[in-house]
Amino acid sequence: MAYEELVRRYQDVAVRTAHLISPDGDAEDAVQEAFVKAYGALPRFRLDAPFRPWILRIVANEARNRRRSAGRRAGLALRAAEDRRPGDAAPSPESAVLAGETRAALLEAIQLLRDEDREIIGARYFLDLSEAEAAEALGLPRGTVKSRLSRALARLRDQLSAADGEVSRG
Amino acid sequence: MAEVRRALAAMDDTALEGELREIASAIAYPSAGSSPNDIASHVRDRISAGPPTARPTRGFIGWLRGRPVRRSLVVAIAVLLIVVAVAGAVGLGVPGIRILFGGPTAWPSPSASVNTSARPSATAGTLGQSLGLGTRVNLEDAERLAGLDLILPTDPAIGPPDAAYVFANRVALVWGERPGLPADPSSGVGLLINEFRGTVDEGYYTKVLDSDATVTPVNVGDSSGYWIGGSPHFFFYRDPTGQFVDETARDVGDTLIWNDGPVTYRLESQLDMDEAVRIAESLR
Repeated sequence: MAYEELVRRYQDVAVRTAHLISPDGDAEDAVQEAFVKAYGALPRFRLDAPFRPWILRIVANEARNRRRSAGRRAGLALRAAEDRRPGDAAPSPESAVLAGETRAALLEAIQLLRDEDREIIGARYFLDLSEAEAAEALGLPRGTVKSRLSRALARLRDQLSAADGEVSRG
Repeated sequence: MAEVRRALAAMDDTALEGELREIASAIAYPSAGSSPNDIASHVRDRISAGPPTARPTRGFIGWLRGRPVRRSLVVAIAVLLIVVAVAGAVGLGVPGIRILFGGPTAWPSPSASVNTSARPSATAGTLGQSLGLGTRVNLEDAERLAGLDLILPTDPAIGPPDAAYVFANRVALVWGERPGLPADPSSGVGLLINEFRGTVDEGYYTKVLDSDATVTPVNVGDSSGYWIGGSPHFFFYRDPTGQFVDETARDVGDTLIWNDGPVTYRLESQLDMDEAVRIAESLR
């Protein structure tokens, strides 16, 4: 089944998208539902549109639905993988600690941002979507991506400079 | 930790963006699954079980309403719909796309054999042979074997095809270079027209086209069709054993596809859209 291959091709980025949008939700479940819905919607898919942002938009909506139904976010599900990735050069202990702290600080601060800020930061920097793709995937007017991103970065800075106790979770 | 946060907060946008991109690969995501219980398998199973249980009714999905997904359509899409064979990048065939659109039932592709077969250089006697188009026959046999009334270009400068091939219910007609029909350097083919029973449906295209491909709806006489340009990034073909083969990495070019009743036509060449449509409209 060709569609299965299509799903396989996009499932990773789809899961990442769902996770960034709803870190506490069941990303795999959202993605599965999104792909099933997208299948039914294929005949209405605009011919001149690229597929990736189209499917990500359906994924994003599914993830948001789960976020809403789950109510308030319960914890910090957005986190860094443990330590170094395979293939990384072994860093000095000092720089490893610093890199680890930087990751933790950024992810904690991002987690505490409002949803729209976390979504746009995630789409542009973590998923590496273009502005056009980010706009399509998140359902935003294309012209607003830059300004939203700029505001999100400003609030991220605010979050980072907020009182330690407010953002520190150990 | 507090120092790190202060340092990050003091960064300008560019530096902060750099840090964010830096940690992108370090984020722990849930796994999309490997085998066999991955998402793709679940999706396949759910789709195979029947039409989507939840009819999209709201939000973004809302605009998608209007065409109920009938089971027949689901089944139709479940089979292989598009077959892409060779392209200029591998020295096979015209630098145009070679897409085979299946009808509502699955049908095998001859294209897979191309990958392992010899690639003879084009001569008058073997024109198109490297394209994996099927069995070479004369026009009369082509019509009989495929059960089609073939239509041909009426432009005298193009004339009758140099070769005809049949595979299953598909006939491929091949022309070498002609005035106004530049030949593909590797195969020597100037024009390739496929005629087969099958239908052109938007749904058949959508699941295989990716970012670099453009699809332009066109009219060919009274029929509607599509002009596919650029490099479709997501195509499959099915080899004779039923395996899907991802042709994503291949270069493909431009093609015109349209249908007239139950018969679908596909025209490939190095021509632009208007020229291709002109030839298509001349078919009688």
